[in-house]
Amino acid sequence: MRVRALLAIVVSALALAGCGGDGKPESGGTLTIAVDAPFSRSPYIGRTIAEGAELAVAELNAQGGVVLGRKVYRLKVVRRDNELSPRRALANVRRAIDDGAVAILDDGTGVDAAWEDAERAGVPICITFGGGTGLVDEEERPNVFRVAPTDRGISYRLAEYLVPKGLKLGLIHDDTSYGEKGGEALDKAFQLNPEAVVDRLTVSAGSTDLSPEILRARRAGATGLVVWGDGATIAAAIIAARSAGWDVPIYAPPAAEDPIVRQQLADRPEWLDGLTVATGRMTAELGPTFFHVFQAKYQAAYGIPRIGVRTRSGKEVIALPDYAMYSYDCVNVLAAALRSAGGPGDKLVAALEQVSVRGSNGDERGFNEHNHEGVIDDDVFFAKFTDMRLRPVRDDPLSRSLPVLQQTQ
Amino acid sequence: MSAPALTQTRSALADAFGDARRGWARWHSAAAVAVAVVAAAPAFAPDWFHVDGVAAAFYQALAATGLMLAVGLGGMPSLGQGAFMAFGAFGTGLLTARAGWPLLAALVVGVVAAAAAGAVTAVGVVRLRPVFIAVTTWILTWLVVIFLLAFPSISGGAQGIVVPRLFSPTTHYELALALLVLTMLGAASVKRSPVGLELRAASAKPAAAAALGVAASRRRLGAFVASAAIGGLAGALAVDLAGVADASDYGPFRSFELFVAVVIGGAASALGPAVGVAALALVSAGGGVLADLEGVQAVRFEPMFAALLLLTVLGLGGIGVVPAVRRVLARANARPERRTRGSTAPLRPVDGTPHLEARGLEKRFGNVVAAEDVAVDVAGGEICALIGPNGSGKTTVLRMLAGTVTPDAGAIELDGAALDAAPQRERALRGLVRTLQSTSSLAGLTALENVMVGAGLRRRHGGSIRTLVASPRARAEDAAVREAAFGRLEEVGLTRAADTPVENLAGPDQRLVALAAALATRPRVLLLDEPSAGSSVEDVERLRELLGRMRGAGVGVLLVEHNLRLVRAVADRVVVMAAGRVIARGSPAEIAADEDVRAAYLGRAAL
Amino acid sequence: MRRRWGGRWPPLTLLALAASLGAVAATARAVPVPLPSVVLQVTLEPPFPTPVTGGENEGALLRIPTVSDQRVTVRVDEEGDPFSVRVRQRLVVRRTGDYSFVIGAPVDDVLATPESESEPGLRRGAILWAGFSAGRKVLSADVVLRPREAARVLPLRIDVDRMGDGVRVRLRNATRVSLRTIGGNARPLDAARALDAVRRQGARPLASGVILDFRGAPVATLRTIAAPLHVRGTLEFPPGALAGADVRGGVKQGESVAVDALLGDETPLVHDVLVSGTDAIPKLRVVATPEPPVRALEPPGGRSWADYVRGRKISGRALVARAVAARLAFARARQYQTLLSDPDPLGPRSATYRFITGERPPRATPQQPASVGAGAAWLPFVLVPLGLAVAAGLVVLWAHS
Repeated sequence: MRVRALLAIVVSALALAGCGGDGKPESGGTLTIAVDAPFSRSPYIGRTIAEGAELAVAELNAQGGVVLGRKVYRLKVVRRDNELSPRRALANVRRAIDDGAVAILDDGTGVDAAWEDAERAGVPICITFGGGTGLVDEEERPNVFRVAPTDRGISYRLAEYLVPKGLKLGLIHDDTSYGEKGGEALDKAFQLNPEAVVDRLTVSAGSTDLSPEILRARRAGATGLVVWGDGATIAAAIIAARSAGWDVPIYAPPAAEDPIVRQQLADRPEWLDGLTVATGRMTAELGPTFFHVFQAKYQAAYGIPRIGVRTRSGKEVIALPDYAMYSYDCVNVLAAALRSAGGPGDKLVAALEQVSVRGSNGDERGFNEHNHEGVIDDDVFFAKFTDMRLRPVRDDPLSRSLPVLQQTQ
Repeated sequence: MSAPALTQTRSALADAFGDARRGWARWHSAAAVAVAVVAAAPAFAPDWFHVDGVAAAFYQALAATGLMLAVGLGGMPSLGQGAFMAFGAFGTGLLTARAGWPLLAALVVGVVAAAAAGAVTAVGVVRLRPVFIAVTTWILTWLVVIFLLAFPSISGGAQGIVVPRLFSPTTHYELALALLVLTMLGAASVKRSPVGLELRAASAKPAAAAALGVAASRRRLGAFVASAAIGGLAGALAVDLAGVADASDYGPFRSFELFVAVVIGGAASALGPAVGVAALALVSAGGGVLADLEGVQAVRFEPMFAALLLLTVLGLGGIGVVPAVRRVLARANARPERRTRGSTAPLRPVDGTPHLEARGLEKRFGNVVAAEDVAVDVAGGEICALIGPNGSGKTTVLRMLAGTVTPDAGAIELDGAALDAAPQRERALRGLVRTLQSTSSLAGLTALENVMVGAGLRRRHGGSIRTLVASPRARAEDAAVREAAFGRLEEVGLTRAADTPVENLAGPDQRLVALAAALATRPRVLLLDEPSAGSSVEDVERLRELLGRMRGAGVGVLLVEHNLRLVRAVADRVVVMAAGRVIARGSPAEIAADEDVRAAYLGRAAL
Repeated sequence: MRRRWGGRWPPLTLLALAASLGAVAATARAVPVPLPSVVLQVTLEPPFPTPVTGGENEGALLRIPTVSDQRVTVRVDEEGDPFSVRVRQRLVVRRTGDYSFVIGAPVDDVLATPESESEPGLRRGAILWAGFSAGRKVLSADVVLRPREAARVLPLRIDVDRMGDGVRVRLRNATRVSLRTIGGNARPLDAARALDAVRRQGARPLASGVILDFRGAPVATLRTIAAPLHVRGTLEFPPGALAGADVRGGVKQGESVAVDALLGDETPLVHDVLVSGTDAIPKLRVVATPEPPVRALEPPGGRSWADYVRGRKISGRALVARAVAARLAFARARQYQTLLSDPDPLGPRSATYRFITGERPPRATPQQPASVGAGAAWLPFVLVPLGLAVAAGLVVLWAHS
């Protein structure tokens, strides 16, 4: 009798254990992240943004996806070409919203026009390239975020770095939107030190000969040049200065990392030596391990990004995947915010201000209610080209704390 | 409202409805149903039907239909429609975005700005040859986009100008469709109207149209401005739909794309541009599919496919899809043409006795003396023949009399009033009309339409606005002009060929159509330049009969001819020119016996 | 001579035995016990706890040398109840390298001050600071706290009441707390020396600490401690209100009453200022500063406690209690020197609390939705006939054109 009762209890317990499901979340479908970038007009930028996002998405999916409530969702990246046209960008954003995208990664084109539609739909936009002032405003545009160095940050760091050197600077920018905005940022940064600037010049983007402008800066007494434009403009400025025998130090924004600069100076690598780039740092105080891990993952997925030039010792130079890191981090912040919010929409936009993740370079990456910039101004460092590779400078406290990254194959 | 006014209104409405009912064809019903279906599409469209994308295509078609007025009707190959769209877009966008204007007011300003830009451009280009019109407007497009890119403070730079959206995409869809349909109907109406006839005439043969008194420059200017205004309207509304005015959107490729759409669809057809835009959209979709397969961006394929499509259409004759389809359908219903046999119907007599007198006419072209001290006079009811060897100055004299060439010296009077500075149109209005040496019929128009061009000279209610609203007076006048033109065709014995495209008629019949068109202007004195050139004996005989009836009606005729048999048969007096001077005057018999004339001109030929 | 004591121990032997036993006993019961640390978190708040958000707290694991100063401004109403609490927190980071930390608080808003070299971030219940310091960096911000949550952590409570024919302003030290701590006995001289050490070390967190040899194991005991508060300021009356008024607990100075009181350092925790002969309510401008215990550590009439106990019969237990209480008072005062947390628990810190009477802002009334279209109802009745008339006119015009 007792044995029977005991057996009944055991059987009942086993039966109860079998009920109630296996506890695994059910599949909720796919969440789409749209990448709106100039794939046709600026393939390098478009490709790196998309690849960083796709790498993050692949990792998240490999880890089982994003769990929201009792459902698990896979992520998907959809590419849309904006051809550097704000109208096309706005149309892409609208299309993405219609197709149910939960977030949009953008190079910055057309954000002025597109953010309102996205905000109405509760879709956050994360800019991962354009650093222009005014694109991000947490009060006016609560759904726009950025993970990329800002023009303001770069220009203020340049001023902070260059003014104490006592240089007389010529500020040159080209007439692209990137150049115009950079020029405005530089003017603002040097407002407090007007004596440091001896000349301001605008050059035409795509112009291959900047000799007149360089000569004018030289005659104005410049002992240093800041060239803010696309890669071709920077290369043209270097060529114009060095071919005239002027060994002036030249400083440039992140666009100087564009492979085209090194490609155009491949025949004269010594002219490139000394070009100092202000850009977002790719490692953290914790060390370069995080960066190396990211670089390895990126190269495993997309191959080694060869620039097409070699060092003096014949080693092939490879590009550093900094812009891919930003879009990668964006996706991870989005995933964390999705988990915190429990789903897309306005609550996702609000949650983006409350979460942080470990970025691909080891830094904390996140936003807050007062700041939608994921790369703080302090994180701009300076690196000098030496033999086709970038080495952090030693005369800046932040820069000298950073390691030299492997840039050859 | 007074009772008579009410009665007239009721009567006009009844007439209008009656005309509409009579003119309503089966395909009109089909088209109305199609428009209704398209209008209702957003309500039941599937997800892949993007309302905003289709609305944008409608605005593109609107701009292309506007362009058709300049290209198809006006014969002006404008590559600047993108620039006028930019005027509308940025004019409206700047006012709504930066100055907070309401959309309607800003829209008006944008359209006016585009029209003004069109007027300034038209003043410079209407008298140019087509190739130079294309080049000039192409440069304009470049200038506009370069200006916009150079001044980001105006154009918003790379971010464009964000425009506050007033209408939803569905509202834009319906608005764009409505405007497109109205514009197409308006374009079709203008095409058939006196304005359209004059434009087509001026496009086909400017000199012949001018000879009939067509104010070609004025009409072309009006067409160009209207085209630009419609482009501006399309640009302004498209910007509200898009939400951003982007300077790079109105570059040369946009103008080229619109021009290609017009040519592909059919420049002379009101429906053609819309069909052309649809064809390009299909091309774009195809390019997208190919790009997806190749893993590249679609934007790389679109210009290539558009250019290939254009070349294909041009290679197949260049008339466009819609006219080609119509032609095929027309051939299927065509009846064989029969040669007409001429007519003996009397002409309408001229009022009073006209008299044309020219004294001391001189004209030099460089060192070449085309005419020196030439005196000619023609009275009503008289045929005066002007003969002489080639290069003797006969045509120059005719051109000086018609007003196409200004004499270096001399005086011309018609009915006692001086004509020295009067332009061609004014001379035509006063009754002095010329036909051209070569075939001066207007290709692209039917025989009846050719004559209607002439008959339209004295219209009082043939303006664009009256035509567009089909006002009772315009319609009544149109009917009267049509009847008068048919009468002229009857006078030359070509009533059966009334609806035949004139280029499908034999050469002599085409010259008869040209004569009928000249007669339709109600001339007092006709200047005929070799009307029998290339004619058979039978045709010359018909011409002789016609000339006789002209004389009988009291029309004065100055006949330049090489056919001496005809001259002898019809001329009352003969004036002989050689080397720019009159060498003999007299009756045909006197001229035939003149030794100097024989030596200079007749040779072994007999008059 | 051998004598038999009949089973009793001889007295000397007994004495020696007792002495040795005593010595043994004494030696066996001397327990060295560290007195409570001055960085002890006596209660959970203040400072406000830091939310766990992830990586930013990493800074808390690695100490970021920081100097902290906080100026708290509390606006109170006529009754002394706070309705606005703002803190100007100034942190000076003294290292070369990255810094990243979260400061928890019931924060409504935060705004960098002009001298700040970085911008603070804001999250729910937290302020973020992150950046790079090249050796010295000033981080300064004005923080707006939610008044209800912040007020319960303020060190001073003020009550303004009408009493009879006058007004009473009660200033109460709100830092008092009862907690279980160590107690016990020690040799008076040992305890006195410990007291001197406590006094010498003061509030320095990096000092070596004070170890006292207890007699026997320390016991748990309930003790009430408070952070000494120095309260200074003025009670400003309307002109003429103090004419003929009698003031106790303060000094009449023209139209105001000056107050200067030490609450909680061997002094009462409550100080009343009584102004009789007026019914006017004063406007307060009072500053409270948490201070280290001084009086409690002042040896009576001597240079040191060790000097004091010599030759006197003083209870070691009482001296132990005083030493423990003093250490806890240091810790308690140190707590109130950071209303908002700072990333360096061992770094120098200071805080003042300013209480100012102000006008409580009116409660925002919910906006009544504008009656939409109330005036537009008649519009269709005008526009439609007008439109029809215009259309008819156009038709007539057309018919005559």
